[in-house]
Amino acid sequence: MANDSTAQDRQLLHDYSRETRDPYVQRLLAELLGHTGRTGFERTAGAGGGNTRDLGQGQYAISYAYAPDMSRTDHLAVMVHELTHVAVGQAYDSRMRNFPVPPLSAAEESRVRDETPGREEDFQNAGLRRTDARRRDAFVDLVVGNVQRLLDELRGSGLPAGRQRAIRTKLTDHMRARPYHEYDGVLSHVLTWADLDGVDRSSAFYRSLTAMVAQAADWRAAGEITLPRRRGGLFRRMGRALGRALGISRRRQRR
Amino acid sequence: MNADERTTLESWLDFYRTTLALKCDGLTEPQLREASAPPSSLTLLGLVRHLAAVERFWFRRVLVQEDAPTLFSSDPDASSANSGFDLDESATYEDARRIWQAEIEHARKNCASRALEDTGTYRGEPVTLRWIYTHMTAEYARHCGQADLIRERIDGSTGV
Repeated sequence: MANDSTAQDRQLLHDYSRETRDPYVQRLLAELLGHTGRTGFERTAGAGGGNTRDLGQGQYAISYAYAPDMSRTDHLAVMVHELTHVAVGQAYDSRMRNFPVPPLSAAEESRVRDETPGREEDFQNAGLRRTDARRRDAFVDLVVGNVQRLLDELRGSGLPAGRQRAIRTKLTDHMRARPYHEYDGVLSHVLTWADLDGVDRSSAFYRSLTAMVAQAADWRAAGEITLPRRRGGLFRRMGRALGRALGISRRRQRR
Repeated sequence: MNADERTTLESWLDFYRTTLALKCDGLTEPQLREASAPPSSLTLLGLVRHLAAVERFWFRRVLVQEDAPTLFSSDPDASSANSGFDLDESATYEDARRIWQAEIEHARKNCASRALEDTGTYRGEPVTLRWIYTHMTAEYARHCGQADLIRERIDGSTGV
């Protein structure tokens, strides 16, 4: 079934890339289709979303819950989402973590393997301790600020109410809760939903979403996330503005 | 900021739910088990387990009187007051996160069909869904503050 699924799913993605008229989707799919040759697709029974495993040697396996009544929109969105994890992993050499960090030394690899054998996420996360906390915080600020902007603008997107609810859940439960793992993937997922469900392309939601998608693609192309370095940067100001708007006090960092 | 009452209550609770998850994201299993702010023995993993138990207690046992045993407790009828904080060797974040998310989904389903004025029973007295939402937001806010300090002690991060 896996081989059949892989062929069918690759075809679905190719068909979608020829069909869509959205330039942001076209650019995204052009990037992602370049990774289908290194990726196998497997459909599993049951509910839930998808999962992507790094098999090593530049190969990946995507599995996702599939039911015969699954809509084409949801089917494509989950594949685009998971393939984005592959693109992220390749762009940042990061075991699919959505934040580039230096690779672990052999000794660190060994230590992580001994501490928590079989927990792939620990290999993803162990490298984060090697990056500056201010840089990590700047990324999280950016993600949280972007989620809030999209949530604020979602109502004017022209999307059906059910899709808006699904997007709200995807943005909060996935992107905001797991920024180091889900940022690019959820952006791709929401963009696919928006395209196929007829988002209002003049809406603030679409403009913000596509700006974020384009920025994330630029980062992947560069192999580096470029964050504001100065404390007064745009996204930090957005984070502060969000905090003020929501009445959240943020502790001063001791440095 | 001008949403109706129900949206406001649900949004603030969801905000804190995801804040706790965010505080855990990017950490390894040993870091999630680290009591980094002595003399407190609190850990991020313990907080996630505790809030899974709290979700079950209020949205299942109290709101709909479901006979669901207390999570992470040897006494199935215990309150959730201290459940989940103590970690044994087998406790993992992956398991805790899965259980926690499942409880949140269960809570949302139980709430979806009820009005804010609908009541459950707590210690023999009626308690409204409105009160439970408010209590849960306060519960999460307190623990997210603790999580913020624990996370900063682990790797210096102090996100939103």
